[in-house]
Amino acid sequence: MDILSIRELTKSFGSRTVIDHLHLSVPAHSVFGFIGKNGAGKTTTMRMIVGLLKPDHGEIQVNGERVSFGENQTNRYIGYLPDVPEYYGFMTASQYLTLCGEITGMQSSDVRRRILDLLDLVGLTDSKKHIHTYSRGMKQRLGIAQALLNAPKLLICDEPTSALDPVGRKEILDILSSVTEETTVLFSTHVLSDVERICDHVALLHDGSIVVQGTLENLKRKRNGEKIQIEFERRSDAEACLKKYPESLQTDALTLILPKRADITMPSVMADLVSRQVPVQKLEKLEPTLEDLFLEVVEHETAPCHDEKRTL
Amino acid sequence: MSLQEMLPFFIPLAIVELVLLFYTLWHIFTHTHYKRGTRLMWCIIAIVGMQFIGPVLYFVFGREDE
Amino acid sequence: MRQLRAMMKKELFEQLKTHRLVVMLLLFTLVGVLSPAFAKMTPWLLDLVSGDMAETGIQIGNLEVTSLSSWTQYYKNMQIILFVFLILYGGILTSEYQHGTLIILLSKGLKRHNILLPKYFALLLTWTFGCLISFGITFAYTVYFWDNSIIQNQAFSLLTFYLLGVWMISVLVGASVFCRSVSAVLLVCAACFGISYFAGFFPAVSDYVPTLLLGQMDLLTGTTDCSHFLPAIVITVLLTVFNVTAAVLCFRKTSI
Repeated sequence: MDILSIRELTKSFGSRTVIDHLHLSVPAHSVFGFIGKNGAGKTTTMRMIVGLLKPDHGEIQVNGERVSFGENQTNRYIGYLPDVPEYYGFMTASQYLTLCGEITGMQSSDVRRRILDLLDLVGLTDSKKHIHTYSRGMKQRLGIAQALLNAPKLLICDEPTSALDPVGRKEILDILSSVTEETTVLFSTHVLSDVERICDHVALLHDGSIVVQGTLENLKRKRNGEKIQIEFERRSDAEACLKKYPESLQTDALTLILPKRADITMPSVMADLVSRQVPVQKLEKLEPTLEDLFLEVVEHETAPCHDEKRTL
Repeated sequence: MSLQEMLPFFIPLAIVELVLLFYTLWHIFTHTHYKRGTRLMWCIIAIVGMQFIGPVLYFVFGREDE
Repeated sequence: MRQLRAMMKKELFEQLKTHRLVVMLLLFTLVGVLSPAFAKMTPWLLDLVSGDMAETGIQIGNLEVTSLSSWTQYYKNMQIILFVFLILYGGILTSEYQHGTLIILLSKGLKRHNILLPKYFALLLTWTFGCLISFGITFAYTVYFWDNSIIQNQAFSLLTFYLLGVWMISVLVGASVFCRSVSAVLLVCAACFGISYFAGFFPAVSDYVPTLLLGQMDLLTGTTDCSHFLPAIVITVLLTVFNVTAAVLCFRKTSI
């Protein structure tokens, strides 16, 4: 069953259409990656799901119930972590969570136990500290704790890993993947590696509508080959390599980016280098940018039928 | 009019104003960042600001939101 | 009901933690002491200036200080305190808009009216408590130094001034729903006060404007009867109820 389904969602600010006939369905108990560039409309979509913004057109259903703007009853199924979570800095984490618990109408004995569990889960056990002394990462972790407080069926996180260092990023992702037993996670990001690490379903948002949606394997299958970059020690090796693969891209005298072909894979390149005893400074698999992915996926789509594109 | 006559006023007045002043100064000195202005500036305003205006100005315009 | 109580607790805790509560209560105390002190000092201050005045040919008669002087000072100072109160609490909702602190609470299913009403009630509580403190102190001094029995309509005067404050606070809360900055909120408050004040100069409506409730002097001396203020009181209460209701209804459909 779909925990969240969005149909024909449209929203414009002034004359700018930010969300344009968006369709999306999120299956229960999945980790759903919502990918898009900055400004693609991820935050706007999420705010409409939580009922903070009024859609111009279209329908959102959470757990089978329609979302209405303003007095929103479906929020009891949702835990929401905003892109920049802001709290009352004069409170401590447990004071803040107690306030949240009272607002959601939980029993006070349950709240106390749940708060201890959650603070333990997100690693904020020093409860004497006031929130205004928290670092960005700590605020993000408190954000996850408050979002999980009412045991939501759908956990919505808006860019939970952006503006964090690699360690903080890994911590957040670990927490998110550890809660999938109890809840569905929908999180937005512009970093592909985050998606590859924990998601099983993805949707790609571009210019206000979903370009592609499906399981991660499906998306990966669409990506033909990988980009490999080699930084040689000797100029002659680089030139030799360029001769072998003439369609390579040379970024400087020592560095080559190999073309994407089915027969050029990381093992084959390494075997080749070893067999010829070529010393290299660096050999790396290039992280595809969102732009690359988008172009690849769209190119791959021959798009004979509009519906097929939507549902994969 | 004698000073003695005014004592019932001056003593509580002095207490309240000093409490207000020190409360403000304590806040100024336990914080390093202000919405605008510097520590010295706010100290002067709090001390010079007649009766209560200085402290009120500080808490409205100087105190940084947490 | 639980949401209301939880948010009420949060508002009062916030007032305390942002130091506004302590500052405001100290100011109320200050006014309570200062008003009779000013009255007591008036003859002495007049003595100081009368020397200069005599040179210019103005004679100052012997001014007798009574309990009325003390109360005159009190209500004059309380007007200033009301404005300080509004300035100090002007950002009560706008700062939450600006920092986005309401987003998480709303996503937790917080009803919109449970944001606005606790704010209003918390302000009212502070205002009520402050008025009682300052009134109590001035009352104690006045009874001790002068003959307070000449004062008419003592409690009713306080009530009229208190209601004016209740109305102004409702304007503040109402303006906060539409304005996104403190200065805009305060501007609306000033405009409402100003409109009421100037409308008071027109005899046709002068008996019905909220700012009529600034006429404590006439009440204390007994020049005016309580019943003269009744229409203005009814209007003020109705306006207050209207402001708060309209604010709650509009806030329901505000994008945050």
